[in-house]
Amino acid sequence: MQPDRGSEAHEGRWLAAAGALVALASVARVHNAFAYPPLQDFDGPGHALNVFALYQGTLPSRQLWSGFHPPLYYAVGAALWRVLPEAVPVHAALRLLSAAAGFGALAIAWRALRRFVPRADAAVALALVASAPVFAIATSMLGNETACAFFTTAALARLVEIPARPLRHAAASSLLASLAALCKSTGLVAVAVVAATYPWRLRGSARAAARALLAASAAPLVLLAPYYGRLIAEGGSPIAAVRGGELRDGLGSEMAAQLPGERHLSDYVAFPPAALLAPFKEAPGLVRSVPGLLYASTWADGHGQFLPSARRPVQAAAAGTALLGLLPTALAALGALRIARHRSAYPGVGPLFAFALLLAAAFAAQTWAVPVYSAVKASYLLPALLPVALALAARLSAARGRARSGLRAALLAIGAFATFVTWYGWWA
Amino acid sequence: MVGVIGRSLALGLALCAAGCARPASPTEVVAAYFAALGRDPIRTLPLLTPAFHEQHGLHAVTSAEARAGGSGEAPRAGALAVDRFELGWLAVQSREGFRALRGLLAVTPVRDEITGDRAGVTVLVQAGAGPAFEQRFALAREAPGASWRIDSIEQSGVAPGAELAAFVAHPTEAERQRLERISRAGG
Repeated sequence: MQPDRGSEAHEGRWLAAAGALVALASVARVHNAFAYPPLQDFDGPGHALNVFALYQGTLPSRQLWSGFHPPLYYAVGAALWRVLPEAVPVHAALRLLSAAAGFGALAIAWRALRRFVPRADAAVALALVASAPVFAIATSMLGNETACAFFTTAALARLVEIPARPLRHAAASSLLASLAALCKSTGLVAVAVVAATYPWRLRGSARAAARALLAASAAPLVLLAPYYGRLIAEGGSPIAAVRGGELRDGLGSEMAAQLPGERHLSDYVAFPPAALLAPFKEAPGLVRSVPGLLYASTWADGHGQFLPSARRPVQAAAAGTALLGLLPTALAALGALRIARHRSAYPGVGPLFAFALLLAAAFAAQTWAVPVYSAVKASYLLPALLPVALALAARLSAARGRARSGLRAALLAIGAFATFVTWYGWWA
Repeated sequence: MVGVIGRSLALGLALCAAGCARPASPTEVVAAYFAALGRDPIRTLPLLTPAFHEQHGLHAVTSAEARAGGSGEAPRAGALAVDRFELGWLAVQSREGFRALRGLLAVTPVRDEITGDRAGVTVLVQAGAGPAFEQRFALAREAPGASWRIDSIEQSGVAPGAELAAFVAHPTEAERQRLERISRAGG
């Protein structure tokens, strides 16, 4: 059956609107790269010293403030430093690298989503991700998170199209996942999911499954074992792979000094109203609430690192994005349930959601082991943008008629407002 | 195919030009310092020696150290690891307004001299219509042909009204603390 032309034109208009929002978000990131003051980024000076070490041809020392991070993002940043003209400040180049990685991840997700949902729903869902404050702020800052999200998304997208003879496919997917883990330790979760997916797919034959496991293990063994082995050996614990903020000759760890300092199970249940009405960590109860601060750093700037939280117009605007964020959050949750109930309509997406669950579990474990507010950043979960966007698009595509148009319009309007709120300096 | 080879050669030549360029002269290093200060802090790092970082004394502290309190003085040479000074040096340039203040400085070269692997460059610094002061850079290189790096800075003739400009031209821990005290006393 041929789609009618009226319907195609209708879809075309939604595609154009979503494309315009992504273009606007891209312009905003270029603006932010230059407008946001130098090195005010999360751990900006720490990341800068890592880049400087690579620029000098050495690996960052574990004893540097941010020296626990793996080196790939910094190595690319150091190469950019070498080749870009002095007119481009190094910190701006590093931010543009973050933005390119983030939008690259969205491009990969766009290709993957079209297998399961209509193009217009995929486009609207990804335009919203491109504008969500967590993504907007991470792609406006220098740091290794979006580079990790890029390689993770590239690896996960391959898991929904595994061929019948998958050895080369497995090797390439695990290489991409290993590159993610060479950007940030979060990528280790992708390595585990990739290494498990191929043998699971071939579980009918023990021999084929073993060969797939070998193919998916080569890259991690060669690329990751030496790096993480040294890191953990020097740090004396696996926590060394995620814990920084220490000075080699300093008194105490900076992170150990942060609130709340200890965790209770209730911290994982409490959701203070401030997460919606005053979404900055200074608000009552927010430092202690893991879901509250997670939500506030998804739909606003919970840590107040990018937006000046003391300004009243910023407080009102951030509350606006936090309240509006309820709709896409609910839609994504409903979409995940829909995918779980109609698994046959979404073949091969199991590993994506297994990854999202594992990442959430790792995040919860980290917030327990490192009980400080700076460990509760939504940007740590950016590598899960593919399953989240798929869930959102799945719920959108399940709506019909005016409801569907209304939801698409609402999501694009929320994205446009969030892009305005994260346009650095609008409050001046 | 020819196009790919051509582009690769061009990229190789560009990289070689970037990596094989002659080392900048002491005057050029000082110009690069002022060009990057506040606008492109990371690019200042290769211009500076560890001794320079110990001289400015700006350094990162943990919250535990801040709570324990300190002498209120800049740390003595060799007391802290260089990366603590580098973090402090970068952090001070990330402060709101630092870049704008740097944009107000006019820098005029006065003289330079090279003696073996040591060099001196003197410039006049003036913020807007404020009083000018002199800033002398001592530079060093490890061997003939190696890059010059700034080893220390001395200022003279800083008149009342030029203190903030002097701090921006050469941020130091001692001056940061002094300006902070003045700011607190002024409410």
